Amino acid sequence: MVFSSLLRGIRSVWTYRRVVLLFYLANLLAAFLVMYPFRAVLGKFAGWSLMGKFLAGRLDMDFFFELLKYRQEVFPALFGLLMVVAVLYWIAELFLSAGAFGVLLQGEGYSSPLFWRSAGTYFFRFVRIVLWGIPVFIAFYLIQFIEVGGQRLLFGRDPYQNVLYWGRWIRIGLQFLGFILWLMVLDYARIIAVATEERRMRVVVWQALRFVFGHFGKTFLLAFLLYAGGILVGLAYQPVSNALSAPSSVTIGLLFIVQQLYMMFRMALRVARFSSQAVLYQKMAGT
Amino acid sequence: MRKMAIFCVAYIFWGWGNLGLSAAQPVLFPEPLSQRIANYRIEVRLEPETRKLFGTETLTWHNPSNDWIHELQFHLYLNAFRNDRSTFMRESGGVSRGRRIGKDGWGYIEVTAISLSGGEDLTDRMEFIQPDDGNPDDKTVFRLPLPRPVPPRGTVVLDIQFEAKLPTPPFARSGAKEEYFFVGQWFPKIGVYENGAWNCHQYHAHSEFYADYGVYDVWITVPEENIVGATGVEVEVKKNGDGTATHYYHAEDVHDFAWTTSPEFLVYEERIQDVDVRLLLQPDHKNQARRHLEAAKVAITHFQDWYGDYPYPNLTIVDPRRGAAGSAGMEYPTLITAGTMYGLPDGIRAVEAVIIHEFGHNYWYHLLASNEFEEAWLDEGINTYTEMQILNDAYGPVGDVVDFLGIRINDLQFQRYQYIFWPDYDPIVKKAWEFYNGTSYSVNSYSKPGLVLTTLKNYLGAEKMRQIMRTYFQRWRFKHPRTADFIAVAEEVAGEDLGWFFDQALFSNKVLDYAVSAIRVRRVREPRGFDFTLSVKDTSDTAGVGAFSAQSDSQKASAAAETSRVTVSDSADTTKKPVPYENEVWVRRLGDFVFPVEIQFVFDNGDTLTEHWNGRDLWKKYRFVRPAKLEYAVIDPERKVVLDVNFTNNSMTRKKQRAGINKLSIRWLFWVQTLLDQPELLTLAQLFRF
Ligand SMILES: [Zn+2]
Repeated sequence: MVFSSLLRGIRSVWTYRRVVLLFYLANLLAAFLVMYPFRAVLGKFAGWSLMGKFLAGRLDMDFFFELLKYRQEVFPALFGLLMVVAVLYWIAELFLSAGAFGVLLQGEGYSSPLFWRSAGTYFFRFVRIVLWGIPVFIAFYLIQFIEVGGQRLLFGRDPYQNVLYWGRWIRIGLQFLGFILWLMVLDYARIIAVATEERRMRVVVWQALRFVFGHFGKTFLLAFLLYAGGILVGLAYQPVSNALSAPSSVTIGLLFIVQQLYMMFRMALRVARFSSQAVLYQKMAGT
Repeated sequence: MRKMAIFCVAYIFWGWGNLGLSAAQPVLFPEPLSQRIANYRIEVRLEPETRKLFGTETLTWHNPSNDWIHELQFHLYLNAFRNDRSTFMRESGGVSRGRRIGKDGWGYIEVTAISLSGGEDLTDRMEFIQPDDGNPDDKTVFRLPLPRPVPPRGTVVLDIQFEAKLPTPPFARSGAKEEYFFVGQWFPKIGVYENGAWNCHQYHAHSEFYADYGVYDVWITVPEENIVGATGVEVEVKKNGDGTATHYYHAEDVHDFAWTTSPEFLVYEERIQDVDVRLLLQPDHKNQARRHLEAAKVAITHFQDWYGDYPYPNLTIVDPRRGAAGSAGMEYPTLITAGTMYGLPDGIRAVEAVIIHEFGHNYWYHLLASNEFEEAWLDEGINTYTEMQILNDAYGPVGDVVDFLGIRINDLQFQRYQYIFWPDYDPIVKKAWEFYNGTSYSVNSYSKPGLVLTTLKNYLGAEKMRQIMRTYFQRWRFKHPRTADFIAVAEEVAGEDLGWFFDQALFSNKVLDYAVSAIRVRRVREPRGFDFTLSVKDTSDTAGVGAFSAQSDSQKASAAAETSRVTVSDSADTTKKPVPYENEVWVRRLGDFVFPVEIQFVFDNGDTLTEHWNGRDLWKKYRFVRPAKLEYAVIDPERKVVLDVNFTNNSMTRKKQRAGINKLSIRWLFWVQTLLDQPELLTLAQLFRF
C-alpha cells in the first residue's frame, strides 16, 4: 500500500507539473530577493578588481575575509532580510500548498481556477493548522532530549568526549526524526482539512496525529522513503556541483542550470509527497 | 645536530640543602649552556582532594651584576587567581581564553616561611609590591629586603616553605580538573635582576613571563597510580609505601619548570631525530596518538633543520583532559600542552598547529629568554611566523591549516584575517598590559608580527630570512634578547639598513594599503587645434607607435623626469600600424606605511609590464601609449606584501568581472533556495562546535 501510494504520488508529479512550477518559482523569487542585494554589494566591492575574476574559480579566502571586514555592516542587514524573506516565503508556501491539496485531492488533474480557489479557501485554515501544530512541534522537538537523559544515565555528568561526539550525532538524528514527524502531522492535517471539510483545525490536527500514529508503520515508511530520496539526490548533486568549478562563463552557466534542476527536483519531491500521502490517506480512510 | 647523551652518567653527589632527598644528580650538559643564575631544588607534595600543593624550595641565586643587592623580588603567580580583585582578574574581567574561573575554583599561593639557608628567618620581611599598577589587592609580587646585601657576583641561598591551591577547572594555564592536574607558574620564583634593577612584573591578564636560567631538581609526590610528566628528565621514581610515589625530575639550563599528573594518561614514546618524545594522551583521544606524534615530527625536524639544534634530550607533550582546555596550548621548557577534540577532522589541523606552535616556543622563548611582559612579540610573534612557515611547508601550499568541506585556509590567511580587523589600535612593541584590549594584544603579539616577518621574508628572500632567524637564534641562545637585538641581526645579515621598515612595522601603528584607484583607456586621436598639422601616423616615428612609452606623473613636479622610462618592444611589423591607445593608471597609497611595491600592467594583446614604485608619494600616475588596451593593473600581484590590509583594491580591471560575481551570486542564491526549502539542515551546524 505504501509503495503503490508512492508510485501514484510520483506519477502525479507530471500531471501536476504546474504546481511544481509554482512552488519552484516562489522559491526562486524569494531567494532572488536575498541574492540581489548581495550581488550588488559584491559587484561594487570586487566587480572591477582582479578578485572578481578569481571568484570565477575557487573562493579566494583573502577575498572572503576582506569582504567580511570591509562590508561588515552588510551582513547583519542581509541576515535580517533573509529572515523576513523566509517568513514571507513560508507563508506563500502554505498558501500554495492550500491550492495544491485542493487540486490533488480532487484528483482530476490540474485546473488553474480550482487551484487558486482552493488556495483562497484553505489558506487561513492551514495557518490555523500551523498554529495548532506549534505545541506538536515542541513535543517532537523534545524527542532529542532522550539522548541527553540517556547519556546522563549511562555515562554520568562527566562523559568521555567520544560519548559526547556520538551523542551529538544521535541527537541530530532525533532532531531530524522530530522534524519529519512534525511535517507528517502537518501534511495529513492539511489533507484531512481538505478531504473532510472539517472547520475546527484543533480537531483536524488531532485527527492527523491519530492517523499518523495509528498507521505509523505505513505513514512513516512513506515519509522516510521520500525524505531519504531527497537526501540521496542531494548527495549526488554535490560531486556534480564540485566538478563544475572551472572559471569559465559556460561552466558557471551550467552550474546554474544544474542547481536549478536540483531545486525543481526538490519541488517535484514536495508534490510527490503531498500526492502520495493524500493517496495513502484516501486508501486508509476508505478502508 | 648532536646532543649530549641523556644520562652522560657523570653522577655527582649533591648533598647540600635540607631537603633530605639528596639523590644522585645526573648531568645533562657537562659544560653549562647558560649562566645558571636561578637554581631550584623543590620538594612538592600534591593533595588531590584539596587541589593543594605543599612545597619546600631551596633557591640558589647568583648575582649576575656588579651591584650590591639589598633586596630580592619574587613572583607568586598563582595569587592572580586568589580573588576577583587581583590585577589579573580586574584586567580580564574574570575571563581567560573565553572561560570563567569555577565558582569555588579560586587558587592561591602562600609563602609560609622564608629564611636564609643556615637559619636566619626572613618571613616577616616579606612585603607585597605592585610595581606595574599599584593595585594594593594584587599579591603576585613580593620583595624581600635582605639583612646583608648579596655582593657583586655573589650568591645567596634561601629556604622557602610554601602552600598553594590550584584553580579549578584549569584557568589561564594552571589548575585541576577531577583527576587531572596541570601545574604551571606554581612556585615562588625569583625575578630577573638587570640594568641595576629588578624586572619582576605582576601577573597580568595578557602577559606571560620572564626569568633567568638555572638548574632544577624537583621531587614530585603524587598518588602511586598517577603518571607524571614534567620539565627535564625523570631520574627516578620511589614508592613511599603510603599510597604515594615521588618522581624526581632534573633539568638544566631552563628558566621554568612545569608538571602534570593524572592516572588516566596513555603514554606513547617515540624518538624523533635525536629527541625522545613522550606523549601523555587522554584516553578519549587514543585514536589521535599518531596524529600528535606526526605533528611533533614535523615540528622537531623543521626547527632543527631550519633554525638550529634543540639541545635538550627530550620533549613531553601533554594532552589536557576534557573540561580542562584552560591548560591547553601552553609551553614550558621541554614540556608543552596541545589540545584536541574527539572527532576532530583531519582537515582541521588544530592539533598540528598547536604542537608546532608550542614546540616553537622552546626555541623562541625557552632557548631565547626574551621578556614576554615587555616585548611579547619576540616570542609569540616570531613563533607565529615560524608556525606559518612550517605549516605551509608541511601541509601547503593551500589549505595548510584548514582543508575541510572544500574550504581551504592557510595559517597566513587566518592571521591576516585577525589583523585586518584590528590593524591600528597599538604598535607591536608595547608592554603586554598596556594594549587597548586583549584582541589588540593578541593581534600585535601574534598575527601582525607574523605578517611583518613574512613581508620581510618576501622582501629579502626566503634564504636570507632563514639566515636571519638562524643567526638570531644561535647568537642569543640562553640569553635575554631585546627587539633591538633582533633588528641588529636582521640588518647585519641582510646587509642593509632596515630601520625604515622596523620603525613603521614594530614601533608604529601605521597601516599599509596600496590601491589602484583609476584606469583610463582612450584611443589616441589626431591632434586638433592650433599648431597641429601632423597626424598620429606622422608622429609615430618619434613617439614610437607600436612601441611602448611609459610616463609617470605624481604630485612632485619633477616626477616625470624621475621615473619615466621607455622600453621598446618588438615592433617588427612596420607596414601596418595598429591603432594606438593611451592607457592611464592611477595608484594610491591609502595608509601611512610606506613600502616599495611592484605594479603589473597587463594588456589585451598579452603584453605584461612590471614597474617598481617606492611607494612614498601619496599617488602616482602611469601612462602608456601602446597598440593595445590595458586589461588590468595590479599592485603586488603575488601578494608578497602581506601587511597590505586590502588586496581587493590592489587591482583594477578595464572590464567588469561579471563571471566571478555571477558565480558567487548563484552559489549564494542556491544556498538561500536550499535553506528556504530545507531549514532543518541548519541543525547540522552543531556538528562544528568543537
Ligand atoms: Zn604561543
